Amino acid sequence: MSGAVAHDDHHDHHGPPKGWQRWLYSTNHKDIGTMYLFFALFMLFFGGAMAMYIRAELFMPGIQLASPDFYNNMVTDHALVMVFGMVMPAAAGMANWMIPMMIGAPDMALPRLNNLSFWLLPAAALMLILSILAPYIFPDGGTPVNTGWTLLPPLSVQAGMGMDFTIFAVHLLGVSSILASINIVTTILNMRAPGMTMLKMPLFVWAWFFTGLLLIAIMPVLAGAVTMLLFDRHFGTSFFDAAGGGDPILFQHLFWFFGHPEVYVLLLPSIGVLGLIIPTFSRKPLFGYKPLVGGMAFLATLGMVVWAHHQYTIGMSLGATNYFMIGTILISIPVGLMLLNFIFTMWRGSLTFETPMLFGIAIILMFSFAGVTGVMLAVVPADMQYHDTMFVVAHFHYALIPGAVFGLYAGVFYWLPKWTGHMYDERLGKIFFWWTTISFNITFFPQHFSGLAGMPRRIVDYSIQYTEFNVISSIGGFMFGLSHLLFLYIIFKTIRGGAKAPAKPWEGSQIGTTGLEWTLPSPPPFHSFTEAPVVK
Amino acid sequence: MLPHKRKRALPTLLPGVGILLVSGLAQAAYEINLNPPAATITQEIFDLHMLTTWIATIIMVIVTALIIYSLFAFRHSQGAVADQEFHNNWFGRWAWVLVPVVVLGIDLSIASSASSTLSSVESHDKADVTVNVTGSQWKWTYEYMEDGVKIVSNLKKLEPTDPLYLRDVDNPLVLPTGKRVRFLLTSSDVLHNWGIAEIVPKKISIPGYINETWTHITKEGTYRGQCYENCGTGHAFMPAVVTAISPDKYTQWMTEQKTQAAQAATEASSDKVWAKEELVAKGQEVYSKNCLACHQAAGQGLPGVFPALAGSAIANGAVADHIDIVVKGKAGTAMAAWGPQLNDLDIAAVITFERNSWGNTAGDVVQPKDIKAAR
Amino acid sequence: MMDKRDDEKLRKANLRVAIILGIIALLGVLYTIIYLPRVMSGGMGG
Repeated sequence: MSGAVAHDDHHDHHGPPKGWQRWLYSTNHKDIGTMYLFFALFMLFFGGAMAMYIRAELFMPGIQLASPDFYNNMVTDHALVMVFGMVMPAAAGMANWMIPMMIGAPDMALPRLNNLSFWLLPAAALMLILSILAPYIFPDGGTPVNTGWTLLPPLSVQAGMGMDFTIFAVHLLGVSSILASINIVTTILNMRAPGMTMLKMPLFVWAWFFTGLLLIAIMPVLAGAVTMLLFDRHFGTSFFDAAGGGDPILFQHLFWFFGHPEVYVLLLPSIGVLGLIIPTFSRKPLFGYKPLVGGMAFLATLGMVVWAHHQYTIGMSLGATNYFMIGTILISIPVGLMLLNFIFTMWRGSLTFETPMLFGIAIILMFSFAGVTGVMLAVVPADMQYHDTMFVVAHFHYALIPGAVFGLYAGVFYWLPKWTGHMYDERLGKIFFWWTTISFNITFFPQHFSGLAGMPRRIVDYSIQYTEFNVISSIGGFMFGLSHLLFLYIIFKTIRGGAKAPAKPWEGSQIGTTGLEWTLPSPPPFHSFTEAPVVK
Repeated sequence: MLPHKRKRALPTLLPGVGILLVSGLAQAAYEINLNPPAATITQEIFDLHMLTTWIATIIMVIVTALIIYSLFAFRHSQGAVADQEFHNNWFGRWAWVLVPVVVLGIDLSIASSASSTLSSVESHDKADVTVNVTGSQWKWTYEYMEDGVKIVSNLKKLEPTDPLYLRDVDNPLVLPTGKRVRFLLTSSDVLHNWGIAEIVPKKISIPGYINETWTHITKEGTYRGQCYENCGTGHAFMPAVVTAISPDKYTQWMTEQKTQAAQAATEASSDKVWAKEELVAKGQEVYSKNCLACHQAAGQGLPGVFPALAGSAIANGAVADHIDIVVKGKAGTAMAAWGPQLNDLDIAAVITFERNSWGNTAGDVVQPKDIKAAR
Repeated sequence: MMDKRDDEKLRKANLRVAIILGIIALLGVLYTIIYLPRVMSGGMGG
């Protein structure tokens, strides 16, 4: 607790500890946030390299680069790395950095727990790397983890030693994000400055409040499910084996009970970032603050009870299928509320187009597109045609790359001046925006068509009728990957120098929000708010 | 990392452009929408798909128009001044009711037509033909329940430039048009998913469980699908092909199949003692149908994934162990139990073939009666 | 919300909330492993 509590009389005399101790023993929310963000950046390139391999393999029919099992191993780990290693740590890093400053808290509620939840991540990353290497470095390593990130048995029971490492990685990642969520929810509930009522909190804080609650509800289910998988693999239980009285479909229910809310875990923080960016660059308060908070609550709740729309083809009863279909289609209501909110925040505003805003607008458009293909997929009989084709791949990349990843990029550009004290290079930022957005669309738009024409996902090789779309997709994919080198360059350039950023880097920074982050200088001092600020 | 990958991908670009042109012409009609339906049930689904596609398109047009208009109309650089009280006008108060009600209306109309289609997909009316579809790593086995005929459907090996590359099998499933066909789906190992967009929506194959779906084909022709649930190494290599023919031709075809099956059965159950050459020749046939996908053409397997048979301890060791692993499979691996799938003669032949090929020196001959004894 | 900064009280309040949330998460694991397999085998009326 020392970071939060004792610093008034202890730490003020000197700055942060020097050298590696500053990072390894850190209990400071800004340092831990920074570590989360750099970890996420590293994983972005790690998972991105896998995506580049996938697109290179699919460039042409025929198997060119590696075995089918290696291909499916890359498909699996690309997903696990991007979801657990990139988006969630990046969002957690932003939460660490911004939430205490926004609500006027001196630090997170449980700083040492915060340290633990970060340092579990490198251990989990090591497990994931071992899971890839296991088939090659251990005698009897068995088949690579070729199941896809859903880890569905019985295939995952067949897989080799790599699967055990994957299971342990998922355990560590799960513990890490449960601890981080507990910390964030506690901070939001207990650490707000006097006068900062729940309904005055910036939207990003609300978004993370719901995200944290969702994670606490769903992560244990995943942890339980993979533990049962581990038991089935090694200790002779038959949770998922029909021959022993179990049920392979049970795992799907458990996985997607986690997996669908997980989509909102990835999405909500970015919606929260958008809820700050759109008003800032429209110079106008949010069209409806309370409806948006309500919409997020509605989305999180509804997201918990519609999981089986990922498994329409498993042969559920007619009643259950109808229920999941209608529930899923109803998700369009809270999503519609969000779009309405953002569009009419821009309406009659005074818009400028800095990089965060450009990302914001692109997100609204592309995420709406994912929304409408989502409604198409929710319709059960049609889904029985789309199921497991590239159409699904296109849909969820449209949902997750604009909805989650671009939201985080927008957040990075929005807050880089606050974090580093330097303005980023606006011209490079805009080039990065257009480069990523255009190449993203070149990559994933054609996949709708190859999917409708029947190309399955998770295949290493395809017949030549799908060639054109895959060639386009791959070229777009390489451009998309390459654009991230520019992203890296912009970030390091900004850290090293640039125009001095004022406390309020954006003209519209303070409009319609009571967040306290802009009252601090850029960069903020190592210990913010040694005197509790009061919100009027 | 990146330029490296690009370099390796580039040499394949030139032949790719050639393929692009050819396939672009040949497959033009297939490319951007669901495959044209050829059955009552898929027609119904196709109409539903077009309905939701149009609704999606209209919504996207509205959203895009609103955004693009506001980007032009409310530019700071053009002197637009933000209306700080905009959210307090009538629209700001009522939009939260209006928009959800409109969205709910659209939702419910989609859901109601979807629900009625779903009821026809899930209907269990009496079928004229019932086919048991078993997925296994990595082939489909079709069994006509009424006629007792069984078809094993393996990938046909073709060059990657062939229009039917990964889309053709040695023995397609043959079905009559104009009849209601019921499919019972199950699996012998991991999850698979069987469906062909033109004629039958997908259903998953679960080991130990049976799923059901149906079709009523309206047009003769050959229809192609694939396995649609990741089933491991050979997932990309298990196409599902259906040939639909008129009921008359179907009856004729079925009679032929039955005669052939009866001949094979008599042969297998006779007490004849087989010569080594006969068994090896027959075994090679059985091997390439059932074993080659994993253990490979020269018995070399795939290192780390599928064990080699050439020079393996089992293929050169005690014959009882060899029979045991083929008949009963190996738990926890992709090695299936072949006892229930092949007859005594086939198993005896394939074991004899394996023990006498690729430099394996066991040299012994296994007779069908040995297998019968081992079951 | 903090009224005034009373460190000891705040520390206890934080721990209390965190422990409650942690117990919820633990119950979630137990529920998944012990209870769900009994009621959900056979998969939603499949």
